[in-house]
Amino acid sequence: MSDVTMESGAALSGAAGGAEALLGSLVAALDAADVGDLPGLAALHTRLQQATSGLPESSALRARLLDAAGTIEAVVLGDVADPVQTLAELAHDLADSCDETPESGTADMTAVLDQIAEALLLVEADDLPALASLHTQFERIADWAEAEAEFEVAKVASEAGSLLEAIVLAEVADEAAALRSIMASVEALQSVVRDGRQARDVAMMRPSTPVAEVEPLAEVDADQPVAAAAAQPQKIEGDESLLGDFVAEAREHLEACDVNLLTLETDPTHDEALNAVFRAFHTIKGVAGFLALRDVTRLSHEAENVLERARSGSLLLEGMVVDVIFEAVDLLKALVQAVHDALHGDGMLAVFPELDEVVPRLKLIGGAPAGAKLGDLLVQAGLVTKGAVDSALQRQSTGNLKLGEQLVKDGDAKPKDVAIALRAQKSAAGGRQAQSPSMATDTVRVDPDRLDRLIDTIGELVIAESMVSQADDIRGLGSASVQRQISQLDKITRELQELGTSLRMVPVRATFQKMARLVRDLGVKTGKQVEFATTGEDTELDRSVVERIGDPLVHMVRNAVDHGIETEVDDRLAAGKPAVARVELRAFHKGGNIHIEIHDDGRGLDKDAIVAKAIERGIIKEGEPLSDREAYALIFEPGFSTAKQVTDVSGRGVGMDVVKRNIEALRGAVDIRSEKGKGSVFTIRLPLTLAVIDGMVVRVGDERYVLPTLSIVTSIRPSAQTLSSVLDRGEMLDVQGQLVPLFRLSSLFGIPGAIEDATEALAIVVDDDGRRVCLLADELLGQQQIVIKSLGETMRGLLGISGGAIMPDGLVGLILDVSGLVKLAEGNGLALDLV
Amino acid sequence: MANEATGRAATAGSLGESLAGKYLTFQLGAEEYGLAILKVREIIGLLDITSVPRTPDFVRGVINLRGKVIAVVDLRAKFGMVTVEDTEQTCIIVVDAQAGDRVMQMGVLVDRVSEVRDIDAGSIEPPPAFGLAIDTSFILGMGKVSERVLMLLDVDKVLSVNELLAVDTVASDF
Repeated sequence: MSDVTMESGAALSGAAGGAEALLGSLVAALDAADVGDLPGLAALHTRLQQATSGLPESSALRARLLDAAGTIEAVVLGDVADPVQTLAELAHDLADSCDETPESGTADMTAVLDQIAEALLLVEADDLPALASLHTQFERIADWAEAEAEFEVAKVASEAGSLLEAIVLAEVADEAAALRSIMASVEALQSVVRDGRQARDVAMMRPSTPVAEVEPLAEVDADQPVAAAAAQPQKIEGDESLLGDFVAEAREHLEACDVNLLTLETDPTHDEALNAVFRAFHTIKGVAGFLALRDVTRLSHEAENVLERARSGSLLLEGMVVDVIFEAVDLLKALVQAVHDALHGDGMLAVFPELDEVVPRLKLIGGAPAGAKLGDLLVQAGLVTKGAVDSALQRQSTGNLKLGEQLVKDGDAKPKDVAIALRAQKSAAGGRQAQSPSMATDTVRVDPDRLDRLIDTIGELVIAESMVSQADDIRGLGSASVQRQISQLDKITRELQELGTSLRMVPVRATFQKMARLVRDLGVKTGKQVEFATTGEDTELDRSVVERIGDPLVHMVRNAVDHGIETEVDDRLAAGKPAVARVELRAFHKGGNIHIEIHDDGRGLDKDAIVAKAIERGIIKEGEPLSDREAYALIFEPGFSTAKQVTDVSGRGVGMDVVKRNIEALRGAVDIRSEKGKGSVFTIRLPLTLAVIDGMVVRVGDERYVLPTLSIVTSIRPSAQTLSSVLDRGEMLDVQGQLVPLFRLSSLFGIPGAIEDATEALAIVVDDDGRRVCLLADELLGQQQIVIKSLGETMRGLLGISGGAIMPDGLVGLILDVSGLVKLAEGNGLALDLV
Repeated sequence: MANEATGRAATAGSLGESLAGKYLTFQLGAEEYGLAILKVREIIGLLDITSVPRTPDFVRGVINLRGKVIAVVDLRAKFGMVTVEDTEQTCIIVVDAQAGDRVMQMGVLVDRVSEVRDIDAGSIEPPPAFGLAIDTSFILGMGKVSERVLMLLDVDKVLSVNELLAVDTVASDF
């Protein structure tokens, strides 16, 4: 703005004032900065450095800014012991220096306005960080003007600020026009400020395109509800690693949101939870803005507004309000997933039409002032057109319906939206005071590959150590001191190994928390009152197990709520149980395994009904005596459940065979205890880690193989009487009265030198998914714990071999895969399928 | 094949340019081969190899390379040469082979490792064509070094995973 002439003598202080304004915005940014928000901090750092460039070398301010930049750098690099504290102090210091710089009112503002004008000329509508910083400056001007009682100036400035915000949130149809309008406002402000205070009536000075003319899109078309504001798919821009970090971080925040929202739902005055949710949205908004993810910014901004209201105490988070926030969380999750997909795909972000439902709802709640009319609220949020409200009002005067009912009846508004609007209208109450900073978790993020490599290396170390300490040469030394040192080495290695294993372990907490959300949603959906409790969330499981236990758990928890718990509260009361049902998840260690139990106090399994259904399905024969346990286990049979609804048990079997398979794939087991009328307990038993199994080592010819102990039923030495052949090709063995096909490992694998005479070999009866087969090996070498190793890409898909194991002698042993062996045998036609 | 060979001859100059560099040379019988040094991870002496059933005969089996299980390919068998008894000099060259978009380690069993040689562009010629009789698709080029001929191998092709195995679905990725 070269034509702007500043008041003489104000030039110098103006420059300082500009710096001061900048300082102000920096302080604001610092206040809002999150320690974990590295991109945000980095941007701050850059801004601080830029700020120093315009200052004279000798300026104290310059030194201070450089100091601040240094401190932020230290925070980013993690060199600071307490980053939260450091940032707070920094903000405080800078704010002090802000106050120290001489306030020279008008001249300051002139400088700020000049800056704004300059920035406006250069800014692009999609340069969100720049727009955000402009916004801050407008806010500053507004504050200053209010302090100076220049209310018109304040109004124009804050209007320009809101318009900027609208641009950021992509709510403006014509961004260029909006920017022009802001520019005009700035020019008006400049002339007012420049020409002194006589021009109090800024309204007079306002240019021909006042801010009001370019209004947010929501109000432009009063006769049309807001359509998709930015419905075109957006292409993601920006640094891939930053985006990747954002996705990971946002996911974490949103997970935490779920938990905190659940807390809030039961206790709406829980400040810490509220703050945590607010912070999550705030952080997501900040980073998303920086990364130019518009939809995310828009949604999180609206959600943040609602939460801000809750924080300030003008809104109580309960019922419908929480539902809407949950909706926002879910949608945000989807949006973040879209970013993730775009990152790994073609870079285009998916479009979410739901956005245009959820955002107005949030607006409704976030923006409802006390005493507002329902119609106004709905129109303001863009959910209904003004015309619709007017016509509904007219018709309403003739009928007896309330406005909301009329709108729904006319099909102008969705019942849900009206309900939310009513809610928002009412909830102007709720005395709450917020603000208590909560702890940042002190964990380190590590690339899983690196972790796996560390664990692999430790494994190598353990093997190398045992090979050294077992070496004959070393033992032969007979030196007591060497022995001592070796046993010390042995101890350290073992500790390291334990530590390494524990690195893979993660608590089941996060998985359990997801279930809390599930139970809540199911309860709402089925209209059942369910209380959810967890114990032992700190129980740790192997990372890979935790990842894969989620789906089966979801299934079982859903079954517990959906089918376990009585539909009618009266039934519960009649059975002498409390009206609110209880579902509990427990995790604990027991006998080298992890147990996860799902308790429900519902109606329990109906043994007779299950048995009857199993007979109907042909799974068992009539008259078979079954223990309770065996009867319950029937629900895991494939084909047990169908769409047909049968009495109490219906649905208990929905996909339970899949659940069982998934758990067995993790080398676990499921068990059911149940009492009719009292409830059921489903127990999942899982091994501590997937990487170690118990195995039997068998010898065939010169080869050794490992057979997972879990799949072994028994092993016997066949006698001539129990052996029989089929069609001269297949062999059968009579195992306790049952004829079982016999496969020779030597012929399956083509191993020479194995025992030919079956009566001198060892028959191992194994269980392959419920069916039994016999494997013939030469002898049993022993049992041991085995660390499973992948055979790598090269050997992937080898039928009959599931992996390799490093044996104590350092060689590789191959682990047999029973079902693969059976497939192999059948494919080769070595035996007939008789089972 | 013949067309391809003439095509190769025409681009011999650029072929040399792209292949020039350091090679680890090794022997199979009387023949000498070269592996691009950047593909080579390490050379280890012969150790006990666990044979894996139902794999082609050129797959010797798997070894434990410091806790990692890697496959070992017998190059003699792979090239259809006469197999010989392992000697003191027999060793395994651990290489990084490209399999799809993943790099994996594999062992290559050779008679004897010789040296690392610098081969310049001028002394590299396109591989000869024998029609269908002999598959030379995994030979990148022929290097002439002090009166001897080196066959420069394309490790990724020699150790093509598809050839080692066909089927899919093995349990673990632990």
